[in-house]
Amino acid sequence: MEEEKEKHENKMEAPGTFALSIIFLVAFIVMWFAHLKWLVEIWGVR
Amino acid sequence: MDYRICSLTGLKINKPAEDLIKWNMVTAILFLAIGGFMGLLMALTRWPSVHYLDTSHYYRFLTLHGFDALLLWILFFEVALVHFTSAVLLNTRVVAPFSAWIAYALMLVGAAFVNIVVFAGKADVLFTSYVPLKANGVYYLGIIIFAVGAIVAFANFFANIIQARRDKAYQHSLPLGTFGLAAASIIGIVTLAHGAVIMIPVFFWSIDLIKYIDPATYRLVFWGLGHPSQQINVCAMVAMWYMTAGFVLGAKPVNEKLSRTAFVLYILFINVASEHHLLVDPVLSSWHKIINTSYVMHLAVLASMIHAFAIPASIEVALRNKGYTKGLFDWLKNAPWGNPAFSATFLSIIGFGFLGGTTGVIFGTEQFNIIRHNTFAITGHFHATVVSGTTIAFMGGTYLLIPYIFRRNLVLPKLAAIQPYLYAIGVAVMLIGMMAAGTYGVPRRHWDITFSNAIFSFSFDPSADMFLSMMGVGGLFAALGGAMFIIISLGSIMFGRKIQ
Repeated sequence: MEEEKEKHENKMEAPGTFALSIIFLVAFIVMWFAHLKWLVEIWGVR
Repeated sequence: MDYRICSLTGLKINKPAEDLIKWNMVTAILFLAIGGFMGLLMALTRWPSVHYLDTSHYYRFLTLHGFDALLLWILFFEVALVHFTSAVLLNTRVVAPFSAWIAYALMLVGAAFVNIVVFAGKADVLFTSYVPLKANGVYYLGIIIFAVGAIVAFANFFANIIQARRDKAYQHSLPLGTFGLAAASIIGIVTLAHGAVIMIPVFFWSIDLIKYIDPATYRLVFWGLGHPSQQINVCAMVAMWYMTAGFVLGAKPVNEKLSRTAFVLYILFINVASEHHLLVDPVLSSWHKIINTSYVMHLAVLASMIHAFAIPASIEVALRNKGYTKGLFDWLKNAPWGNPAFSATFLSIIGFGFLGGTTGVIFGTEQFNIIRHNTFAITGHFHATVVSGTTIAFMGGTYLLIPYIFRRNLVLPKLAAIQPYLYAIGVAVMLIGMMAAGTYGVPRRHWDITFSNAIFSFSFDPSADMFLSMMGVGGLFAALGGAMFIIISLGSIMFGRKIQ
C-alpha cells in the first residue's frame, strides 16, 4: 500500500517542466490570435 | 591501440578520432567565420537606410552566406559529432581512419572550389542555384565533391558502430546521442545522394555536354537536398541537447524509449517538409501536397515537441536530484546559467521551439505557405531554426568539447558566459524583424525592395522599413556575438590553459 502511495507521489517527476509547457501553450495561443488579428489588419481581410 | 582516458569524463578517446574531431571542428568554425561575416553584410544591405552592398556583390555574398553558414559550418561540425558519438561515446575506435580523412579532404576540396568560384564572381546563383541560372562548372563540381565526401563521412559512422558492436564496446541499445547521430546520418546519406543526383547532370549542362535541364525536375530533386539537409541539422542538434544535458548535469532522458521513437519519427516524416517548396509546382498532385503539409508534417513536429519537453524535464530531474526541490522553479533558478555549454543549449531549445518550430508549423501549412512563401518571413523562420536552434546548440557543443577533445580550458571565461545570451538575443531581434517585414510582403533575397526600375511603382507600408531596421540592429548584435564565439573558441583551442 505504502509502495503504491510512494509510486503515486513520484508520478510527476518534472512538475516545473509541466508548468512551463502550460505557460508556453497559453503564450502560443495568445500569440497566434494576436498574429491573426495583425494579419487581418495588414491584409485587410474581412 | 592508440587511446587516452579523458580526465574529465573518463571516456576512452581514440587518437585518430580525436584528430578527426579537431580538424572537422576547426574547419567548421572557420567557415562559420566567413559565412557569418557574409551574413553581417546581408543585414547591412537589407537595412534600408544603410543598403551597403551593390547588386552584384549582394547576390554573390548571399550565395556564399548560404553555402558557408548553412552547409559548411554545420556539416563539418556534424562530421565532428559523427566521430565523437561513434568512436568516443562508444569507447571504440575509428575503423577506417584513411577513409575518414579522404572524406574530410573531399569535403574541404569541394568547399574550397565553391568558395573560390563564388568569390571570383562566376557563380552568383544563390544557394538554390535554380536552373536556368547557370554557374561556372567548378561550382557544381565543388558541390558534388563535397556531397560525396560527406556521404563517405556518414558511412564511416555506421562502420564504427558495427565495429563497436563486434568489439562488444556497448551492450543493448546505442546511447541516445549516438542514436540521434544515426538518425542524422541516415537522413544525411539520403539527402546528399539527392544532391549528387541533381548536381551531376547540372554540372554536365554547365559545361554544355547536356543541352537542357528541366527546371521543374531540378526543383523537385534539389529540394530533396535543400530542405532535408536542414533535417540532418535538427537530428544532430537534438542529439547535442541530450549530450550537453548529460555531460553538464548528468541528466538522463525521462523516458528514453519515447525520445528514440521521436528520432524515428524524424527519419520517417521530416523530409516531406520539403514539399512546401513545391506547392505551386505542377509536378505533384493536390492530394499529395495537402497530406504532406498537414498530417505528415504534424508527425514530424510531434517529434520536436517530444524532445523540446523531454530534455528540460531531464534537466529538471537531474537538478532536483542535486537538491533543488523547493517549489516549481527552484531547479530553474539554480541551473548553471554561467556555463556557456548549458546556457547555449537552453537558449537553443527555446529559440528552436518557440521561434523556429511554431513558425515552421504555421508557414509549413499549405494555406499559410501560399501567402508567405518567398517573403522575408520565411528567411526569418529558417534563421530561427538554423541559427537560433542549430548554430547556438553547436556553439554550446564547441564549449563542451574544447576541454574534452582539445584538452584546453576556455579563454576569456566571463566573455564566454555572456556570449550565448548576446548572440541569441541579437538573432531573435533580427529574425522577428525579418518575419514582421515579411508579413508586409517584403520579398526574401531581393536587393531592391523599392523596385526602382519597375514599370509600375510599388511601395510597402512604412512599418516594413521599421522592421527591416530592427533586423539590421539585431544583426549587428548577432554579428558581435558571433565574433565573440570565433575569438573564444579559436583562442581557447590555440592558447587555452592545458588540461592534463
